[in-house]
Amino acid sequence: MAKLERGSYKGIWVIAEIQNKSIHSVSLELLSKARELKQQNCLHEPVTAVLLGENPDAYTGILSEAGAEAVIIAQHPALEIFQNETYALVLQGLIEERRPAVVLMGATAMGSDLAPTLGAKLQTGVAAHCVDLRLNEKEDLVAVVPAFGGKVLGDILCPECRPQMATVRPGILAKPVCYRKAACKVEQYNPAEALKKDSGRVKAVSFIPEEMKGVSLEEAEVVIAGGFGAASHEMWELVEQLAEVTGGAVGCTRPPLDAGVRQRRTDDWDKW
Amino acid sequence: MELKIAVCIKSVPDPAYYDKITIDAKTKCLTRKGVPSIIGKGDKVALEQALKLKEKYGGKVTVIGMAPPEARFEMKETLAMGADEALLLSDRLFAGADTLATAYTLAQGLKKMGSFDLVLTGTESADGATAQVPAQLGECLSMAHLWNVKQFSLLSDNEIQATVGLEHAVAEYIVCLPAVLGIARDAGKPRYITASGIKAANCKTCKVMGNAELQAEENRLGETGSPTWPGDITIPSMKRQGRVLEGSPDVIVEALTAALRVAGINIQRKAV
Repeated sequence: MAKLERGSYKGIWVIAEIQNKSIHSVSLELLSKARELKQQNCLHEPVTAVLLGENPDAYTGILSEAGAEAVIIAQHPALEIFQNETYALVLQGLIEERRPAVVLMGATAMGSDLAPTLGAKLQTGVAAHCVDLRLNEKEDLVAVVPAFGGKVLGDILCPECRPQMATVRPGILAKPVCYRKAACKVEQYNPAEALKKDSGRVKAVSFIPEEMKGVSLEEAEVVIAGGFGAASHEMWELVEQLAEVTGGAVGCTRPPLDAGVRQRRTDDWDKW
Repeated sequence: MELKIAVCIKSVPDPAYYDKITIDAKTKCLTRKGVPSIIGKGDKVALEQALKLKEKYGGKVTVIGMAPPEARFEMKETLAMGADEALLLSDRLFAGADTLATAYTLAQGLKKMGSFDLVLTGTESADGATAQVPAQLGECLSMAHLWNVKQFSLLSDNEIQATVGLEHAVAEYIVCLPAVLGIARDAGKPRYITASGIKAANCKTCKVMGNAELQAEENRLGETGSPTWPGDITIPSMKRQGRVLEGSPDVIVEALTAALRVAGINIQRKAV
């Protein structure tokens, strides 16, 4: 484990995610949180959003409104579809060069794969699926993570390695704040050099969006949730029916999922 | 072709006993007394995939885990399910490992067992649920890796095609072997253990290995090798206001719909 001079690592970065041609809400939530942490702790470095993909320029406005004071854009056809290897190599190059103290990502399907990949490449710590973030008196990141199905909350610190990384689940932090007409420095970063290191072992072939059925859990006004008591097909049917008549979304804890009565939808794998 | 497949298993406290888990107020350590250990369901789903591949192509399934020596029982369970051999990495030096130190230790164990075409894991453990070990194991082994693999098939001796679940989408990848795959929980139901399976397990070996034999770098093991450090732990209050409705079903339904309406949820009568 590489132990580094902490002082040379500064500022908070958010690795933003594009999903279905828009910025994922969790990226915006993280940017507002990053701005809040910056203000509370009187940090100097601009809160920076990093965006990878093809043609990501269109999104700088929304990133800036949510709190980004700088945006770094890495454009390349090889980054069109998410691949853990290429994405991690580009970010590794950027982070080693610019040295942010904190790197945050959404605990989405992409973030849950990319963050540990990048953490291993950088030989630093990643706190997974956090529900809250703060900085302590040493300006070290304190990430609050749930364990044992949320029964326990634990603080995770990464005092001796940099950057300090964390992923946060969508919809957990406060809704993004709107920073209107804020100045935002946009910079293009050429990922070609970093992509030369790609071994080509993982190749994305296609990306197939799935049609959304029903109301999404984040946006639902009503959520009908089933737990241990609903972990049978008969009981689960009632949960689904109630959701239908109330126009609500369906949620569950682990037992109905483990019992197989609740078919995990692609969009709610991280929300139970 | 014959496949050499490894499956990573984690021995975890049985989720059905989570309410028995307490925190020692002084030491801030979790007390797991009286809580039995099991293999998480996600790990069994991965083992099932490995066994199916072996049935189709022939070869060998090796199970590996890192846990105290008591976990021999869980390892034996995997042998009864059909795995050919098991390796339990067990040493005080391994204790307190975060995901990076765990991935490193498992990688060293796998290297001791020979070479593998595929290393399968669940997507996440049932207790910590960081979902970080599959990607970090891939990085430690310098293998290609994918996470949340819903299905996959062999294209040739050295290539697989895999479907990865993302939010509202799936992505198809072609991956060069050897590779680490984090298998999605819904990839298939694990088989039951048969009496003949239990009998057969008695003739198979579960090797227990400490670091004297593993000879991994001590500064990358356990607590010492972990970039993340645990801080305070708390049990959040999840108390909710409960209300029991009594009477005949008709009376209860009236009271329930009235209460929901008061809460702003309008239930429409479904046309039959």
